[in-house]
Amino acid sequence: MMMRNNDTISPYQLAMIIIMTVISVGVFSIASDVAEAAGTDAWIMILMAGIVNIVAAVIIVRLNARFPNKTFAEYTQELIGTIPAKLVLLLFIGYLTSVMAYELRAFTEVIKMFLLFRTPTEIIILSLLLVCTYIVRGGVECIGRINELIFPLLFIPFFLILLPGFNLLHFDNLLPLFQDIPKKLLMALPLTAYNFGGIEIALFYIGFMREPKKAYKPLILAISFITLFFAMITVLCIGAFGVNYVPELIWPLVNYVRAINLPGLFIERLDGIILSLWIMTVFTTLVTLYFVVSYSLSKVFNTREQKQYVLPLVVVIYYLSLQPDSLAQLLKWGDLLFPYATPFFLYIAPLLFLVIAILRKKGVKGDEKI
Amino acid sequence: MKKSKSVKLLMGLVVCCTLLTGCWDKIEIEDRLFVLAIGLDKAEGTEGQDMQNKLSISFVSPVLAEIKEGSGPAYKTYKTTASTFTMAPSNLWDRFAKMQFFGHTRVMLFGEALMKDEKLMKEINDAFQRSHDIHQSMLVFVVPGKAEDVFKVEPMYDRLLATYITGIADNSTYTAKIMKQTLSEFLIKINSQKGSVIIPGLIPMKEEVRITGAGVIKDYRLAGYLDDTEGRVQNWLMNQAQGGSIPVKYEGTDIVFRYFTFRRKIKLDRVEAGKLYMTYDFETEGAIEEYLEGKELLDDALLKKMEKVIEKAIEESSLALIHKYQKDFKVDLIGVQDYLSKYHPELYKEIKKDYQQYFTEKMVLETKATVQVRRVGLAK
Repeated sequence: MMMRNNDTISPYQLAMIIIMTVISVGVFSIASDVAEAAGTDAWIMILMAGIVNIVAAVIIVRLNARFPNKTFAEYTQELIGTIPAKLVLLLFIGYLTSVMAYELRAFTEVIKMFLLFRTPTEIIILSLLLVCTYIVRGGVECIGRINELIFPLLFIPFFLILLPGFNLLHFDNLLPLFQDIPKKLLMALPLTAYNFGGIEIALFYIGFMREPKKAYKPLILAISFITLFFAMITVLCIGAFGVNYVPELIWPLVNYVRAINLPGLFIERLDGIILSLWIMTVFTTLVTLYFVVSYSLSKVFNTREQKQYVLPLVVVIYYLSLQPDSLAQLLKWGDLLFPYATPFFLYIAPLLFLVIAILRKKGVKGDEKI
Repeated sequence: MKKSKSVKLLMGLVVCCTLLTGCWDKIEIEDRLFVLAIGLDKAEGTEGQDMQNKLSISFVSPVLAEIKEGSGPAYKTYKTTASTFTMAPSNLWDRFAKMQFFGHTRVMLFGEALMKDEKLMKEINDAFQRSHDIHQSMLVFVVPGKAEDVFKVEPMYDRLLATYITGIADNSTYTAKIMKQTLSEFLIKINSQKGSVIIPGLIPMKEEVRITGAGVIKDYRLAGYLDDTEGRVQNWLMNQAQGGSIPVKYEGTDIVFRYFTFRRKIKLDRVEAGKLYMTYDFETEGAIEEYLEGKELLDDALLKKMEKVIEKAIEESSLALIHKYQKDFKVDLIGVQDYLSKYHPELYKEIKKDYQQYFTEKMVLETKATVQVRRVGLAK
């Protein structure tokens, strides 16, 4: 190749992609979900779930390291044959498309409630989706860069906004600790773990790195960051509201920000700021998933480019996202899909393919050291 | 070539026309009527009848021109009746040219009759919990009588009633008599304590208002009031006191102990024969800056004796309030349940089911105070 193609990402960009994908609409609601299942031990469950996901990530990198410069869409065809691999890929596409539609709709409902009451849903969805389209057509390097760029823009203000709420905290709300841990591990851990959905797209993005073995470090760092971030949010929400009240709320983090009182400051209400930051988290999630979907489609239909699939996908995602009648129905559908689909693509599929690869002695033998 | 350029230009114009013309949610700041305080009352009418508008809601908004130049009170009050809280603003829209905006509301007052109505309380609490435009950092008070009477007060020194009230509430830093509670705290507590909560009281007077005592809400219904001194003790028991003064008599002379820290700890001493023995431990330090001319206060032995007197006063008054809760109100709003669930989860699990019975009958609560007089002022 004479020209440098725009199809590689750096290890740092991989970490950014994973962080920005996993942290999405869920940041507002995670404290409520986990507190309901695990009570005051919620943040411990999140730390445990983080460990589980690091293990999953190691499996994913192992698998990808056997096939340098190939993504999940390509090496599965080598492993289980073209037709079955394409079926798996189609499943993956269906899953990610529904995740995108779900995120978009949840996003729209929150925005309509707090910011844009009268703006039509269609306009909110389409305007976000079309910006995503523009970036996804730019290819993987574009996605790496946009995530790299938005990461500090998002998290620095995010932390700054959470800070003035610290006087709401009563740390004794986090007591008692370590109650019925074995039971909670059984009941709450699966529920917590799938809040980390999004890591599975590393199956694709590692394929765009020049040396897949370098993916261990950024992935583990990214998941540690996500875990600590989720744990922090949970501690803040439970610390401020107590373990009895948090499960009653749909988006405890919004309530946390709204309870902050900054007398004399130019901006008295911070919920507008946190919501606009949150738009960015949703945006980056959509972009990264969007690319995986269009890329997988190009592999299913054996085309060289992924660009041409991007715009038609807008129609599909737009249509899907408008299907639920209400927020209640949306959340219900989400509860039907994610507890099964996410663990399948995040834990079961990578493990299965790794076993197949080892048994069939496919790919280069990965360096066993991390 | 030229044709494609003009097509591009045309498309650009079309895109601009369609995307840039609609701003559905634009509200100019001039079109907003800032609401500084809200007062909620139960509407008057014959009891038992199915009343359409059971809520009477008063609002306070600033008059901007008055704030800039005028001399009198810079606010106006207005009233509406509605079936629910959410209905109230929309009832106002046919009378007002501006939209009510609750983003800067500072004070929320509940009338007594409203707080005695369980159903109404539940409705209103839910409205506040769900509402996206009610800001939860405003302060809440119960008014013995009608909340709208407070809005008739024209404060002596302040031109805005709402900031006057929040200003008084801020004095809770200096005196434990005053209770300060935000709507957010109120909702969290009433929700996690299953309908029981303490709410600071506010009394309107001629040119002033007073924040005094508190209302005791049990099962979403106002069950009684705490007076001034009990309100102070309540703050001690809940470890919310930040400072204050305790007047006591020492050998016939009035002395005042001024404290700047007050810490409370609960300890479970023992469980015996199905009864729980617990102690409230108070720790406070401060100064006595008034005694008798000609007598030396800078005397360790004397101060120790005084400390004992103050300790006794603290212990007795707090024990009295604890008994009031156990015998009269029959509800735990003094943090015992909170303490047991956090520090003795195993024990709490056993008694959780009939906690109220345990609290009223099977708990022996003691108080123990440790007072330290650190300073005596400038003279010996």
